[in-house]
Amino acid sequence: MLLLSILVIPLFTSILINICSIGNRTIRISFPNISKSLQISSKDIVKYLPIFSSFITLLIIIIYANQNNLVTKNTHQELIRLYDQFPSLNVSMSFGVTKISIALLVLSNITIITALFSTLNIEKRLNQINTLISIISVGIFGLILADDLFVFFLFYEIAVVPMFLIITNWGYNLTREVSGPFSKILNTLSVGTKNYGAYKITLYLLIGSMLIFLGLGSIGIVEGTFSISELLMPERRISYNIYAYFLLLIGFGAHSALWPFHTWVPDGHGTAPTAGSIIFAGILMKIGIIGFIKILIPLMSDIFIEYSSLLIILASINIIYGALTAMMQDDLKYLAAYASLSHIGYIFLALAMHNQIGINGAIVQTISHGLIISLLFFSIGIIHATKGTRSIKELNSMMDNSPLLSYIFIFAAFASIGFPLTSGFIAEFLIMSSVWIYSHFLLVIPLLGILITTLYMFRTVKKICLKFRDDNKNQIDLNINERIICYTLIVLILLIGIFPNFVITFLTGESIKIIGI
Amino acid sequence: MQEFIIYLSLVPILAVFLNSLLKGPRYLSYSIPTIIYLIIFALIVAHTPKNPILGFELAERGVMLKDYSLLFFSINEVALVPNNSYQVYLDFIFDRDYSLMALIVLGISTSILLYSSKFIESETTTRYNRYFLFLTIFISSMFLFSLSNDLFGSFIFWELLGLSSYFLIGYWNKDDEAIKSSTMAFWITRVGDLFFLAGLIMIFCDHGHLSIDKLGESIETITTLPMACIAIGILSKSAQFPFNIWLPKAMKGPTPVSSLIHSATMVVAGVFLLYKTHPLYSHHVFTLNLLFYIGIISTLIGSIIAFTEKDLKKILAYSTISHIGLMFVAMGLPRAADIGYFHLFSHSLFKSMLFLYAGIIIILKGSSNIEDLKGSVKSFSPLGIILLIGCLSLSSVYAFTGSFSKEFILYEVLHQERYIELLGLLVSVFFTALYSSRIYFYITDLKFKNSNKLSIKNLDWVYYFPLIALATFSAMGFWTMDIFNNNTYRPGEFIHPSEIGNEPSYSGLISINVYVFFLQVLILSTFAINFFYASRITSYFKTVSHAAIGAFNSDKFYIEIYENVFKSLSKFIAWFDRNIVDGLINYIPLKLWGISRHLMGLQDGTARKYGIRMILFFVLLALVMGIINNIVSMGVHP
Repeated sequence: MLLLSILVIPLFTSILINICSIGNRTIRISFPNISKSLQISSKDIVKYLPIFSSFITLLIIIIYANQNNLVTKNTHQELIRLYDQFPSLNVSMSFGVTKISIALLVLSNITIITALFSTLNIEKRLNQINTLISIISVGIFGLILADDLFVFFLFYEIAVVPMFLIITNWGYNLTREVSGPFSKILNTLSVGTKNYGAYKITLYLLIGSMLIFLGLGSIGIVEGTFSISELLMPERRISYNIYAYFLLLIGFGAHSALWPFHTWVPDGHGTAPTAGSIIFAGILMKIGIIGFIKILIPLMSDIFIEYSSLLIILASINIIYGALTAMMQDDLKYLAAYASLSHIGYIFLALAMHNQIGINGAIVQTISHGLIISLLFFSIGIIHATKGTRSIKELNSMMDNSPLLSYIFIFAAFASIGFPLTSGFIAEFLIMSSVWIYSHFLLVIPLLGILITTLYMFRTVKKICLKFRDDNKNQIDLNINERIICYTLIVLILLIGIFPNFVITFLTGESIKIIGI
Repeated sequence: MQEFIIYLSLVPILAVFLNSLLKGPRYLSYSIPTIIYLIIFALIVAHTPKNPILGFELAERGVMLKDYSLLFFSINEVALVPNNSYQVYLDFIFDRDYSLMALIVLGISTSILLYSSKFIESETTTRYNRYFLFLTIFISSMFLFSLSNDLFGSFIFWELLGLSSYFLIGYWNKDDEAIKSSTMAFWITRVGDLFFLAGLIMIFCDHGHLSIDKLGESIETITTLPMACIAIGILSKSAQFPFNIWLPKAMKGPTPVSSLIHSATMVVAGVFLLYKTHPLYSHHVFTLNLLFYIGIISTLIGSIIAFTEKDLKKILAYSTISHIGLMFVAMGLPRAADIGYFHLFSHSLFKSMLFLYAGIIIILKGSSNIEDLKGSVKSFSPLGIILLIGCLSLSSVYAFTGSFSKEFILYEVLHQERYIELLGLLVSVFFTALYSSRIYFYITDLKFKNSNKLSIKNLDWVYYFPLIALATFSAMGFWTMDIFNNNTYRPGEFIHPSEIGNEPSYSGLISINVYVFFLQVLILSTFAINFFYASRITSYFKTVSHAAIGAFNSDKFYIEIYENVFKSLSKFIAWFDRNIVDGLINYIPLKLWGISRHLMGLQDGTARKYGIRMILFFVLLALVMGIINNIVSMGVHP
């Protein structure tokens, strides 16, 4: 029950910051025996309270893990059943905690904190964007914890919708050149504006969620129960429901940018503010993966194995196509968007292998990609704020003007090409091992993906960090808030990279349960 | 103690990082690393049973330092591999071979740290600290690489070498060429690294671990493919034949960096890895031949190009390619790996010395073209004698450091009865003598007179102290061979050339004495020829050198691949994604919208049409229901 308080804390926080932001007040806290009193303005509360409450939720998760000795235990499952929603359909408000969900909760909490740090520089209606981020975090936490197909869907919708408001209110308008047979349609839609991006994302994800709703509903009605833990009972055999499988595959795939349902990713990232991009890449793109890990693979393993070649082909296209497209981008955010498209492909490839080392690799890659892409988008956000542009052509000599910022960008670049001692390497090593076990020939695809990633990442590093031009003289570097969060992310990425055994042994027992050996 | 040494080697990186973060004084950036590396050097020397430099016995037997291994990660309960688990350790071993390599690395690195402290003095403090940060990362990872007894650990430090060399080569980023060449070096070595990684994964999936010692116990189970992949990775990092272009371009970096990276550490790291893993691939004919023939091509063409090149640093770069090719020849023979390691050892001593020498001359003269350097050193001054020692070692004149290892490799090729290949190697020996004599005759005043002479008196001590130390080692061929013999596993196999002839295994066609005599005649006569007929020789070998440059000039090929394959493909796909895929995705909803507008036209208000549509609709509904029922009963099995 303690763990479920993380679903409530963000809501209380958002109510509190909205109350505080009415008028500009200062709260005085005076201590006995000390003459000086502490003064907190309401602006500071709006700024820092969400971060503080996110730390509390992180603390609660860690306390929960500590209470249940999760580090030493092999597997863990705790079910919490609050009340029945629709007793006739066997739908109940129930939550289940496993070790994987704890790991994902920690990751999404860190991503939320990063996003909140990136909003510190926003002056315009800060309370509102923080409220929206808090609501998204409620959705994500509930989604990860849900032990009921219906509850899963419920929280999923909570997480998706606020994104529309974030983009339309705090986003950027871009211009995009169009040509080809569909240029007329694309021109009438005014592509590249923030409204276009917001509508596109929302429609895309809602159509995806419709498919997921149908798929989950069909499973629940055919089986007679919506409870995931009941469906996973060993004596229970789940019927061969191929429609549900494909509905879920497309729905979850559209959420995690599986090719060809990925076109919302670059537009969404390009038009969203930094906080939006971080939440997108760090969490929202992981919803589909969570769906795969929680529902699709354990529940429908025989159909999954039967049609795994389809997923392998799509994932391979994701890896190569995303990396090749990223090579030609001029906007840094588009580059990072296509890079994350390519990295998500590795996760799908590892899941499709359906062996233990692959599932481990997929989860490690999920965590590592969340951390790395948050760092990448955060640094791009700072570059945009300080240099006034995101164009690779216009940026240069950052290594001399803002060394710390460029080091952080270069670190993110190295981490995303899977450099040893970063978490990306461990994930890629595990994924490639699983690929080699599944099929020797297929190893070419991740290797080629890494090669192209190196090409575009270091073309970018060369152009924006190393290339020296005299005309760019302003020496601006990171402020203290930005430093704190960047260092934290770097330390986490390095920790997973240098001591991977902790994460891998933490996940091993659960990953056996997913593939059901 | 062993843990202490491992962790102590990480302290310099931390010290320089903190110094640059806290904006401390400059001199700490180079003095702390130098002192710590010297301490590590002393600790290893004190713990080896035989003193590696002087050769006297310190302890009776055994190695005093133990192995040190650190669990990296493990995955248990897997039913796919023999011992039911995947485990990766970071193993460090302090045995004689490995610690000798570590000592070479530390010795050369400390002299280069001293040299650099003066060399980049004119830079701003942030850039000064950045230089030493990446230099210490480079040295520490090379040190740990040489001690690591695990392919996984080797790969980690291997990649760190690539990272730090990327920043060191591109250090002078005001020059666009420097950035371009560092990025190119990174890309090309990265291609090789991916091959290395692929080989690593193949072995890892078959055996569940990557320890070189444990793999050595089950040699038969290791297949050709992974070892060939690892060999290709090593060839790319050592700038051998198809990957050779990055090394001459990398000369855009600061000279001490060139001296460190391109003589004793990064480019020969792969050779040392091959020495470690030699038992794993010595029964694979394909891998051996791959290494052997690529080694021959590189050593031959490298020496020919070095003869025609004008830039002093580039001559040395091509000469490095040529010498590393010779090491690969040794690694490609079934039982000559230790001779290859010996060549690595001696080559690193005289090549780093020559690079440092080139750095001094280039600073003093302000140009690296040897036409501008004509006659700038007095031949009977300290600088002239050091250059003579370097050039004699380079062309392997008897009793100088470079000589024995080269002779052994050539003799082993002869012994394997590979005569055509031996001929190629002899041609390369001839060209090596030609270009080293060319360097000597151009720079000293024996042939060309120049009034503006350089003198050692103008130099700071940090410049000439490393130079003199390394020159001493280069001149003392017998002594360095003793050092090597005392510190490797098979001292018996590896003795003076005159005694080798008596061994039964070496009773080949020609006795070693005759053979060595023949080689010396070849080398010394080449010196003489080049002194008297230099211009004629250049014109004789014009076609040969053009052909060699054509064969080696593969950078156009790489740029073509990058421009025509990757860039044009990505241009197309980027366009395809933004216009076709996205257009189609937008097209479908818009079409649906259009259909709905058409359907709105149906509500025209006439009752007769409504009635007909209603009947039609019910008929359709019945049909669709029937079809759906069929499909559902097909798709869902209870």
